[in-house]
Amino acid sequence: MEEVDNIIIHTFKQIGCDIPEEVSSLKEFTTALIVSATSKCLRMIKEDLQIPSVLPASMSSRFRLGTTLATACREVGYRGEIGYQTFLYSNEAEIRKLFMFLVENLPKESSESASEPLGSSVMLNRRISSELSKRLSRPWTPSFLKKNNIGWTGGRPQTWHREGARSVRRFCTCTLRIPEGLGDLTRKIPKDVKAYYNNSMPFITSQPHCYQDIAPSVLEENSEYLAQKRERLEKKIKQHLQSELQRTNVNAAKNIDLSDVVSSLSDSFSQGAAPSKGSRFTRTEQLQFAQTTEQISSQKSKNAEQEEIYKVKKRSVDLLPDAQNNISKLQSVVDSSAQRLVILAQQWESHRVPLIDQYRELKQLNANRVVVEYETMRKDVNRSAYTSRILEIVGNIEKQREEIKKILIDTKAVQKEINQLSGKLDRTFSVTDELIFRDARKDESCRKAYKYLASLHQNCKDLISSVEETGLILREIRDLEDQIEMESQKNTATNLERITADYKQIKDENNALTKKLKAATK
Amino acid sequence: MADGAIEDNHRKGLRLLKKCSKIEAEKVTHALLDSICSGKTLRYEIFGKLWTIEEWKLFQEAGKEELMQFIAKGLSKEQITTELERHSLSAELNQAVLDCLWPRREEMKQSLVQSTAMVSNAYLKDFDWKVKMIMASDRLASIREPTLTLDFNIDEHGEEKHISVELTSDELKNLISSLESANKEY
Repeated sequence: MEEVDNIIIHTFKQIGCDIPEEVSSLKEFTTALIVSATSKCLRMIKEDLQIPSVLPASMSSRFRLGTTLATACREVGYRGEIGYQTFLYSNEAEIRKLFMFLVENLPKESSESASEPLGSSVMLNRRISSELSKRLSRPWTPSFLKKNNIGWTGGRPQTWHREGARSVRRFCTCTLRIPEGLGDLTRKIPKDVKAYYNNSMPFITSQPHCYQDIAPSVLEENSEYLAQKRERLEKKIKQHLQSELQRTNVNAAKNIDLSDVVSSLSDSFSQGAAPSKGSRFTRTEQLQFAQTTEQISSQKSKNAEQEEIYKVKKRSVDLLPDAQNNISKLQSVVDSSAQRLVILAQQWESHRVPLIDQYRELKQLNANRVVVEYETMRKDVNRSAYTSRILEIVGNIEKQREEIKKILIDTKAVQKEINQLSGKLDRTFSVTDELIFRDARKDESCRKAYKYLASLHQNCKDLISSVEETGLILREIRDLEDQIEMESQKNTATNLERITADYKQIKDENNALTKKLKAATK
Repeated sequence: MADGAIEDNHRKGLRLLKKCSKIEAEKVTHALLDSICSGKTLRYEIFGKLWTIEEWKLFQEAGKEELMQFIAKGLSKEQITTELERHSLSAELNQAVLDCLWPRREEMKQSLVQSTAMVSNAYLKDFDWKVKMIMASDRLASIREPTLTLDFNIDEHGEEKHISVELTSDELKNLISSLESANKEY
């Protein structure tokens, strides 16, 4: 029982009851300690219970506290017999049961996850577990009610959620025909196109073969990646054409024509024509054009650098004629910028200091947290000791059960023997009885022998019955001893003394109150 | 002289267009264009009042052929009108057919290109992917492994086949890298 007590005391210490160090088993718990521990546990289990944890002095309030604690425990779900006497006049076994129940029902310590870094896998796990718990809590619906795979249920708030897989389909798309160019008011739409859009073009909802394909087709039509792909291809082709223009060095007029062609090409691309699958010719050209494009870009960057250098030189040359003035102006500019630097450095310092403090604080907190985690880790080592003890005890119980079975078999065998023997005895006695009785009429010695036989039989029967009675009485003695032990554990004598003392106290208090009342009403 | 017979049937088929009014001609042309796109034949009941069944069949084949020729050759408006006039239909009907055909020629061209591209045995029409996470199996209580399910819609000689492949992340990386290298080569 010591291990259980240790666990219970340890848990109480963890939730914050201050239990003095010498207390190592439930026998040493005083009433005050019991009351405070119970009220703390109850407060942790149900947040809204307001139970004082200090034992008041007056007897009546103590009694009231005891009854509130008892009702609270019963509310939380304790099934055993409980009343104010469990707390005020306690007895070890009952207290142990109550504390085990309370400790088991303490809310499981949710890890301080608010301060943990929320990695994406942790978030994913949490979402998975919350979704699964939601699904488990939903009632079962037959499959024909889940035809469209969507349900609108759940507690407050109600949400849409997916159930079942009956209406799951393959993702089939179909190219949709949509009127184009309607947003641009400057472009005129020819009459036949208009007529087609107005009269004959079917609605999008009737274009795919199956109504369930409408949504996928619309999604596919609007998907970004297709538009991006088109843009990329178009850019590539434009680039290559332009570099080809540069390379062949066609003169200005023809250049204009070709650039028109290029821009018209890009227009037609944006209208949605399928980009032409490159022929082998353009593929080999690509390799050559890559080089020229690189050359162009490097040339451009060199140009930019040269321009910068030229600009600086030009400005310094401009400033030369008015040398003295300009030098003083430059000096003042340099001074002001130096001053600005100093001011900025000061501001930066003033910002830096609080940030560094914050940083140090956070480091401390982190370190503390790590230490606390380590401590909790250490306590968990106890659990393996407990589990090994539990397994040991389970093994012992198994062995005992085996032994009990063996003993039962032995007892049965002994009982059978007894029955056999008594049966034999009866039969033999009746046979000898008859035999001797027949001869007893004639012979005098036979009559004596018969009398001796009868008395022998009677004495043996008496012996056997007394042996049986002794056995019975021994068993009764053992039972009574057990009962005595149990009763003595309840230490009813001490409790009775306490109850009588408290009863006297309550009577005195009542008398005092009545006197006060009389004095007040007078 | 089989060619001549076909030519005659062709001409006869197209002349049947005479029987419809302008609006019906438009409807029929649009229906023919739709059937070229989707490969399905038209329903007789819609146009049953105008023609008998044989006439209907003839007209369908001839009409489809003509329209496909117009689009494939990329004829301009005038050329199409001259072609149509060869079949001695009224100018109104010619105009109606031209009006129906012209706005849709791009779309028709695309669908013809696609059907020509589908010349190989099996052609990938569409694909779909799903990412799933395996939570547990009968041996392990907690496997958190993401897998990718790829569904391919393959068109093999006109019938659709669906093939599903399940890949782990390593296999997916291999697939992507091999496809990328194939693309670079090409």
